[in-house]
Amino acid sequence: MAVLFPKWPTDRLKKSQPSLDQGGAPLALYERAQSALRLYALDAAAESLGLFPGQALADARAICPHLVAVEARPLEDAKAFQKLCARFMRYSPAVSVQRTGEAFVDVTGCERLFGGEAAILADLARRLEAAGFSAKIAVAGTPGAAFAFAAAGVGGVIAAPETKAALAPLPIDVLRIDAAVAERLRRMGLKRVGQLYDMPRAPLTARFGKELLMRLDQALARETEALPLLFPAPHDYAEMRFAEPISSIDAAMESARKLAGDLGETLLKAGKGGRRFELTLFRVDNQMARVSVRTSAATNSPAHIARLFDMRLDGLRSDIDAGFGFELVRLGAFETEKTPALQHEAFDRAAADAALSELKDRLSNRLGARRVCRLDLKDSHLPEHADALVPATAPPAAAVDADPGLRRPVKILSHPEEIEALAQIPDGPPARFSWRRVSYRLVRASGPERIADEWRRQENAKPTRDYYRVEDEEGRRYWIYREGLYEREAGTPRWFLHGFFA
Amino acid sequence: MSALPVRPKLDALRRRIETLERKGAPAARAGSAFALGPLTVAPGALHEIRVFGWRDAPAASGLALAISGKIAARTRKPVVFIREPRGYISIGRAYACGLSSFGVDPADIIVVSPESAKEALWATEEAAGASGVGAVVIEFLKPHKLLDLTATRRLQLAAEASGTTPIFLRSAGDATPSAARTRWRIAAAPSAADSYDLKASGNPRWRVELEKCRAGGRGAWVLEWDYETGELREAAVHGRALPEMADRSFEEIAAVA
Repeated sequence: MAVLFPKWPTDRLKKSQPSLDQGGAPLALYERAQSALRLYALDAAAESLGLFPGQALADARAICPHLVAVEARPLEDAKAFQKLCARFMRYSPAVSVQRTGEAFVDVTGCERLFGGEAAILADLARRLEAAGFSAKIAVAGTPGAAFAFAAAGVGGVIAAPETKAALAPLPIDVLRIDAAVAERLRRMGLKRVGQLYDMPRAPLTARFGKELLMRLDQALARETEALPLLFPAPHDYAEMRFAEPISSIDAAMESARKLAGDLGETLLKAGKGGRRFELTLFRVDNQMARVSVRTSAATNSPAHIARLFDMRLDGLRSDIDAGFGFELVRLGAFETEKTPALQHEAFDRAAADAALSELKDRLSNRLGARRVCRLDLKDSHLPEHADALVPATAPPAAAVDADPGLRRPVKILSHPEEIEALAQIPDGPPARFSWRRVSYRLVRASGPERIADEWRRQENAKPTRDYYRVEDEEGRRYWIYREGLYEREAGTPRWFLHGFFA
Repeated sequence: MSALPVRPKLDALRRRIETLERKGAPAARAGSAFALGPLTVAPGALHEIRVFGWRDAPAASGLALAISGKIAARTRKPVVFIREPRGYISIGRAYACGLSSFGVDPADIIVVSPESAKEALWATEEAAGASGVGAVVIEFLKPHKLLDLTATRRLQLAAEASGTTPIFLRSAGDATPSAARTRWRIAAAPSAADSYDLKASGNPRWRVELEKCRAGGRGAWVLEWDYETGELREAAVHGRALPEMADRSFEEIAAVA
């Protein structure tokens, strides 16, 4: 089943800000594209006036002075859309979202619970209409065909044997192909899907790329299409059902601990470990809360998993709404891989490594992965690009050797700060400088070490820098540079402080 | 009256208190104390480096790096760096290319950037309690009310249990009591002369005062890090007089902070 929301951005906005809907004025969303404001999405009223996406906002305003224009927020649209699609799980657990506004639900095998595919379709249509979303829905044998029928406005249920015949009169745009490809096909006179059926395949691929035939085959079930699911079901999981719903976070934490024990045992027996774990709390009223934790190394240690969830849930106390209580708690392991059976206590080294990766997990899950980093050396001679803070849980990068001959500071400012420096001779080291309103008299200096921008950046290359290691009267050591060469690159070079030596 | 029977009883009580206090912490796991020039570094204990103002903080991190590098090399365990939470004067972040000159492999470093003092303290305690960590360097130059005797005591206990060595960089103006085993006060000192270039600064030097030490002994030295041998040693200072520690008054710190 394909569910398309052609007016999703405007519908969502109208729903969140009902005042926009009342006047009946046409609504348009615009985005900033290359310093121009262009239309991004329109509602039905705006479309009927002849406005189109990609039009300059100024032009649209000229055509329709009473147009209501709001800046588009694609990220929020996507988030809200995912949230809506999560509710399609009432029909089937296999829900997939590929782009905002396009959802697929695999209802195979689930139709009997609702009394047929047509009943599901009718139920969904009724619910969406009540919620105020304009949607096009179609059910067909393949996701591709369902999409095509929905996009062409042929609603209803199309049985698998009739697919080919029913697709033939539809325009080629419905095949989920690139707009440019569709345009080229039309110019060749290929306007209907049916015209492609008997075309020789090789020239078509040569002319229009692989995607066209792939999409056609997918629609006609000649090729299978595996859609990534919105909420993939875990292969390994443990769950707990409650006759009496639990409503406190503490009870959920307790059950998570028990489930961690069960899941850990299952994984251990299978010789596997997971890198991501997700705890799903199913509420009585069909709502779900999901909490996931990530680990830096595949693990199956119950104590470790339980501790990570303990900390996560503790932090989410106010965010999780138990409502009428949870009736099912499921803990699933994702991204599982084979782990060697470790005799943890037998070897100190292995135990220490395990303790370290568990520490990284605890820190990253509580503080956020970006706050717990390792320092990777990078292959660049520009000081600010020579290293990078990389999340400690990220896979290791290729090793780069540092040049031990270079004397580099222990601390570096992420943005060099401009200083006022006074040099005795134009090309020499400064005798004093002032930084953050304090003046420093320098007694020692060495340099310059000349660092030019990378050769491959020909255009807007940064000026060459001359680095000096300087020391003030009290023995504090700084790394400063002059930006620009005298008379060649800059009229008056500027000085910057970039780092500190111990 | 014989004093003889009292003695064994007292010894037994002492032993009991000791076990109660230490909870049977495996002191052997931490390894034995080692000398670093004139300094003695005991693993499994909290050390404090009190810094004279934020301008001397990079110098202090250099010394902390030198110490933690030695610990990392001895234990073959990484060093966790906990950065100052936001809201204090920024002096940048640890620079991978500069670590090797203090004998620290950049691959052995984990940098934690906490958002608040509370998070920083929590992360420190987690790191200090993890047996997979060699040393933990915590920058906390801004005095904070959370960082009191209890907090440092907890750190000390965590370190004792796991054998890690937390090194605390604090401001010398911070008068909060602390349970650290040793406390040094340090400031940058004019560097040694470079043997090839008279105008350039050579090996870095620090003025170090041992203020407090459980094992006893106090002292003040000028320490020098030898880039070539990778050793910390007492510097042979001649000629120029070093500025007195007291010269860097706390007013300067207060003026900037």
